Amino acid sequence: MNPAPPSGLPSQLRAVSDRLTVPMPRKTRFLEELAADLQSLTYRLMADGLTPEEARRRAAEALLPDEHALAWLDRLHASGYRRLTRRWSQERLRQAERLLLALAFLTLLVLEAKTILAADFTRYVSFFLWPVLGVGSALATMVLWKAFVLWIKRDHRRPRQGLRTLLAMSGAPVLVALVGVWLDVVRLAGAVQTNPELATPLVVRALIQDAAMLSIAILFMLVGGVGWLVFNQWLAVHEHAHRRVLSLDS
Amino acid sequence: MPQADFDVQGFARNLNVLLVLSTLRHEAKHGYQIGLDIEADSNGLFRFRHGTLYPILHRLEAEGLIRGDWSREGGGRRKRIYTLTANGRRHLTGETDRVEEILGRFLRVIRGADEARA
Repeated sequence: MNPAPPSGLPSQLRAVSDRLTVPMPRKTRFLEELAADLQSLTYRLMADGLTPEEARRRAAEALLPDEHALAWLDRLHASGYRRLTRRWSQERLRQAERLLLALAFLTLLVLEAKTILAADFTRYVSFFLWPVLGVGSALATMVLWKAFVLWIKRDHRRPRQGLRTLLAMSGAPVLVALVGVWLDVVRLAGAVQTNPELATPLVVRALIQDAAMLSIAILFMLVGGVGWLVFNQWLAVHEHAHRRVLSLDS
Repeated sequence: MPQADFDVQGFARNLNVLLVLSTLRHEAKHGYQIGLDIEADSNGLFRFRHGTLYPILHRLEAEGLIRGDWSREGGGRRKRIYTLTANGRRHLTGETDRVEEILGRFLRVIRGADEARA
């Protein structure tokens, strides 16, 4: 027999879920454990002769964690990063994380610039490659930051925060590159008009530089898009399990 | 035992751990069952309220003293069931001896003080 959950249980679990900052999937597992225990204890107390109301009240009193127990659970299940920085003030932690973010951006920018400059086609590099590189580095930093928050810091209070921006930003390098191609074509037209005898080398050079710029922009778009897809899928799986527990489906 | 080794607050916290471990000595149990059994075995003296049992269970599991598994009875909801591990059993035996010794000394001290006054 699989009895229906006692009334009021989903709302009790949602209240615990809202106050508990334990990262997923541990939070879901704890809520699942709590739901099963609350249900079993309520039926056990009803079998002992208590009214359903009294049984629910007694079960909740025994098992629903108060603020002290929730804080204890948060400490127990905190990520390694949170344990490491536990003694830091919020302000100090925020500053350190901003510094880390800026360093990640600069490192990516330097590495990408170095790689591109080392490549042969950069002899003909378009000026617009550099804004593409800047936007692309910002996008790659966003992907790294989201991975850090979800899987290292494991702060899942607002797990979907920034995901839409990441998806929108994924198109930005290609958009900047397309603007660059358009302006390059305008410039090329002017140059060909002035020196028609140099039309062939000018067109070849423009094709090489714009093709290279578009390829790099598409590569950045893929980094952002794949990052978004991975985060989205990971969250969808865990959120589905979480919702299933909170709505008490079997 | 040297005086410096004894921590009164730690000793009190450890009692909860021993209560949980001892109730798992003979069979695996669900969290709510552990709480009910401790309350029944102590005639209501020890009661876990407001979910304080869960941090204890999760800590003991992290320390390898108990093992938590999911079980599904009769095709219904999954339930977490806890079993005492070999480490937990050793810990329970050692700590029970230690508590016995500490309480023995404590009783000797307070009874000795009473007798001295009498």
